Amino acid sequence: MKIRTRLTFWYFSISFFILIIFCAGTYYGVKKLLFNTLDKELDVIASTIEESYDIDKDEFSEIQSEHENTVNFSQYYLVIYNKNKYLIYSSEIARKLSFNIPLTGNGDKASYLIDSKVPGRNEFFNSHKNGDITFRLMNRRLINNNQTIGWITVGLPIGHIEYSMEHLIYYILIGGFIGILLISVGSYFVIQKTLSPVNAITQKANKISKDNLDERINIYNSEDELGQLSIVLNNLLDRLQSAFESQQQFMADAAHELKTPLSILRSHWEGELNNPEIPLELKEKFVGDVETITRLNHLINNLLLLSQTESPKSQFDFKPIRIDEVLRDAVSDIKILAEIKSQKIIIKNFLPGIVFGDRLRLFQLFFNLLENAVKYTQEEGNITLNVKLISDYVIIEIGDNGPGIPAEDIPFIFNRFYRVQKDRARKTGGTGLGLSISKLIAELHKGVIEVNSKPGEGTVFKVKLLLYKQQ
Amino acid sequence: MRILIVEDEESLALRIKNILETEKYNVQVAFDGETGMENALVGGFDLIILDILLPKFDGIQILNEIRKQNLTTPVLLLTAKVTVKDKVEGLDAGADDYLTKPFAIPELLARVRSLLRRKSEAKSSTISVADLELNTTTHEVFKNGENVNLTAKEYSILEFMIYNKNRVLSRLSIAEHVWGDNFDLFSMTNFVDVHIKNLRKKIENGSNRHIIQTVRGVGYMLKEEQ
Repeated sequence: MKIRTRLTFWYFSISFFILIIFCAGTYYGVKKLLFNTLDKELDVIASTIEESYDIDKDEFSEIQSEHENTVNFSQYYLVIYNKNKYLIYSSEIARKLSFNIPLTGNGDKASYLIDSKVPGRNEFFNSHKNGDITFRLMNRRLINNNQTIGWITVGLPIGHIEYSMEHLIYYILIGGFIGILLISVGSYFVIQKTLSPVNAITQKANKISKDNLDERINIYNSEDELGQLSIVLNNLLDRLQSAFESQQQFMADAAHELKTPLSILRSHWEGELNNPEIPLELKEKFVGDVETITRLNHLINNLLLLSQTESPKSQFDFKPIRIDEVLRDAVSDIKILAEIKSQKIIIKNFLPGIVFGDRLRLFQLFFNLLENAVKYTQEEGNITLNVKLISDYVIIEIGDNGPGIPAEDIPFIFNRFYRVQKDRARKTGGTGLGLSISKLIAELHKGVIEVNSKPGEGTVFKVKLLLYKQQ
Repeated sequence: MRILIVEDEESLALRIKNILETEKYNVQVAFDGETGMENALVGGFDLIILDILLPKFDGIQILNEIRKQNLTTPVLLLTAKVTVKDKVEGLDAGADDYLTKPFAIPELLARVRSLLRRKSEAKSSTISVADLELNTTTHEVFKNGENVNLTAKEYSILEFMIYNKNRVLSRLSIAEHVWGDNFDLFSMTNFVDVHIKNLRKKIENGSNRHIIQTVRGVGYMLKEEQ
């Protein structure tokens, strides 16, 4: 799972959890507040009645004179018993509804009484009647001078509270849903924005290769973690670059150090070729030595090219060139070799085309392939050349009807120092780098080189190069 | 003709000096950049052979200084480096030619002669040997005033041999001159034989029979009778 998705998920889960707690808190808080207000009112009623007790008359003055009451009791559920547990008052609502509280009539002794266990303490409970009207009821034992003077049950309908609470739930659910939606979308974008430097870093780091090791990752904010990561990566690149450069320098120095003594040796032997005091047989040996020295130099050049100590492109001189002219040159040279072996060079198609490339290197590429064809094909064999243009590419096929390459060798023939016929290698000469150089040359021209071979029938090398388009 | 060689590898420098002296040139050698710079700026040389990697001052610095002093002395750069960038840098700094180590002595001699000729005979662009005349700009060849049709490679070989007349040339150094040192030159030596054979057919008849001599097992030599 992507970090972005994972972070969004966690963001969402945590905010969802917090929102649930918040909603539940709000719900119960509001409910508690509403009931507290109600309970306070009930407590006030009970206290008003309790305080209106006249000890001499043993009665509550508040309920004696209905019309001079400070409080209008008619909206309340109100039941009062005297100290002998006789019902002395019941409001109209109380008479209409009976909550298992006996209301047989004034003066009757109640057979059932809800007692509060501790004198003076309010006891609250919700009671239901007919399912549609709910009352909040409060019981209290009435006290005067530590004497029980009666019992009271006072109540109010709580339908409006229940209604409010239902609506509150509704609003909380809608609000919560919208909130979660906003948090999810918002967190997705915030995370996207936070992580966008990561993409930039990834892309940049991906592009850096040995050819542009001097490039660095842009640092947007050196304070944050991603900035720190960029700095660490850049430091890593610094170390890589310096290691790479010292390696390159070493190779270049080594090559230079090898070439200088080779120059000395070569100038010595070649100088002696004109010394009349030296017999011809010895001069023949000198020529052999010069050839060996040249071969060594050639090997050093190829190794430098293949090890890419200097970016190989720096050894190339790219220009728009006529590929058919390069091929014509290579063929005119190769003809001489082919004639020695009585081989025929058959040209099937030969279409002109312009390629952006290094003339000498492309010559080297085709010469290598043609020379291999001549070298590995029997006398009186055929070498074929086919130059086609297909859409934006020029395709050069160099084929022969020689012995072919065994299938098990084909994957390796472009490898450095790989030779198909190990025992014959020295006799045919070459450094074993020819085909890997050819492949490198094709690749540096953004081209492809392929081989198709059937033992007993022959081999075809196919080079595909992009045609140059003038702007 | 005075030639200055600036090369820190003493053995190589002395060898080049020796060979150039047998060719009747007056040669002076400097083994480091500082002496090389001093000698070059004093002037009086017809050609400077300059190594690029030198102690104290490198070849490019010396070259820049020479050109800053408006000295037009031809400069031949020697180097072990192989990149196109280095060649361009050298030629941009005002070098007249460029040779990569390890170079062939005949190649060096051909370049030296070509550079000296450019300086001394700026008006004429022909070189001649026996009854042959070569135009080095148009690459035309005349035998007793008659045009001889040579291929580009045959011309290149002939010119190289004339610059090295009376010297034994290995087939390898001829091949190197024609094809460059980028690739495997061993099959090229076969080509040299074929091209020499064709060249002989075209230029060897009448008075200059056997102007190109075969030195068995070694190579060829263009012999001009004194």
